[in-house]
Amino acid sequence: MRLLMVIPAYNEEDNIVRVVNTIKERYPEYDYVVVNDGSTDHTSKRCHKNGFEVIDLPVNLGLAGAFQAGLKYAYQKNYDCVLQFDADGQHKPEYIKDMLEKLKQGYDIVIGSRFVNKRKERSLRMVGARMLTVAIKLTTGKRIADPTSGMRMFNKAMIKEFAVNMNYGPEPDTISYLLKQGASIAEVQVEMDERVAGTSYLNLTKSAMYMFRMLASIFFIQNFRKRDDKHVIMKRG
Amino acid sequence: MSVALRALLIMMSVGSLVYIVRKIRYSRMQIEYALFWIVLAIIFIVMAVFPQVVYFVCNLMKVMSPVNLVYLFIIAILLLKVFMMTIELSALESKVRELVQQIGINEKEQRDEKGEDNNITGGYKG
Repeated sequence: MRLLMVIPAYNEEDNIVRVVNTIKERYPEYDYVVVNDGSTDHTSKRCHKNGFEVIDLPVNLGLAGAFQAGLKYAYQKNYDCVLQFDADGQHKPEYIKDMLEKLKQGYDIVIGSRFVNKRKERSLRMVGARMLTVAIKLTTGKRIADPTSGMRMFNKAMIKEFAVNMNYGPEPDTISYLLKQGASIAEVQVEMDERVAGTSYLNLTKSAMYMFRMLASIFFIQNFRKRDDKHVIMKRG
Repeated sequence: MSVALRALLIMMSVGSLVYIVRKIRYSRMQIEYALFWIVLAIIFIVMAVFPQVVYFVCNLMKVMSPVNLVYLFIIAILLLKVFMMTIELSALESKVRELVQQIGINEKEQRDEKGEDNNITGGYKG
């Protein structure tokens, strides 16, 4: 299985070198590509100086657009699976092996989940995550313990589907939509680090907007979406 | 509010809801953009079904006729939307400009690497 790690990076000059060097030194068996999402800092410069694999987007597209660029690349290079990986060092590459094992069992998407065997701590952030879990459970009947985890692995069919379609952002509402369409999704317990440098993109207002968008999308919009027949995955018996 | 106005509000809202949902169904619209129209349609339906809400705000703002408040609300929302769209449009235009410029530069660099432009005449040919 050829795996490509897609690492979207927007203004991550403080983290990107450390994160990619860890992968290169300790996990040379995995391919990776940094998608520099029109950063205004030295993200691109540092990548080139260190000889990293990098796709430079000339303008900022946002996470969904940057991630899709990585998936287009994976699709064109005929990779078997893709791992969505954060550039800020929160994700730990030692869990890739477990996720890959799970994917080989025939799942379409494997989520690196913080809460398979562990309980969520009590914080505002986790209230949001829990609401999304409930929303997905209510609309699809399936339980996803960590829908906001940004560490997700996609199989070959998913790579194509994500690469060519509209409204396939790497977000919980897409997970809910795909579950409803019969995709199989598994979770693997992982640990994540706190962010070492830089600031999180989400503040309170943005988080509230994000929650509204996700919940409206999961409860209302995803019910009406029609999947392009060309990409429907075979139901497993 | 008259029954006719309320019926019109409901009809228009339901109509636009159906239209938007169809657009999403066949992947002709991004979810982020659709949400605005869906929320707006739902607000109109609420106003039409429960006009008490409009009457209440009317009293607060000392507006004579509830229907004026509905107009005011619609005009305000539309102005706001146009304003936001202008901002989005100008961001979009500058992105397109940057993209085109970058493609041009990349192409020139590619040709330079192949050495195709290194003839005496240079510049544009033919």
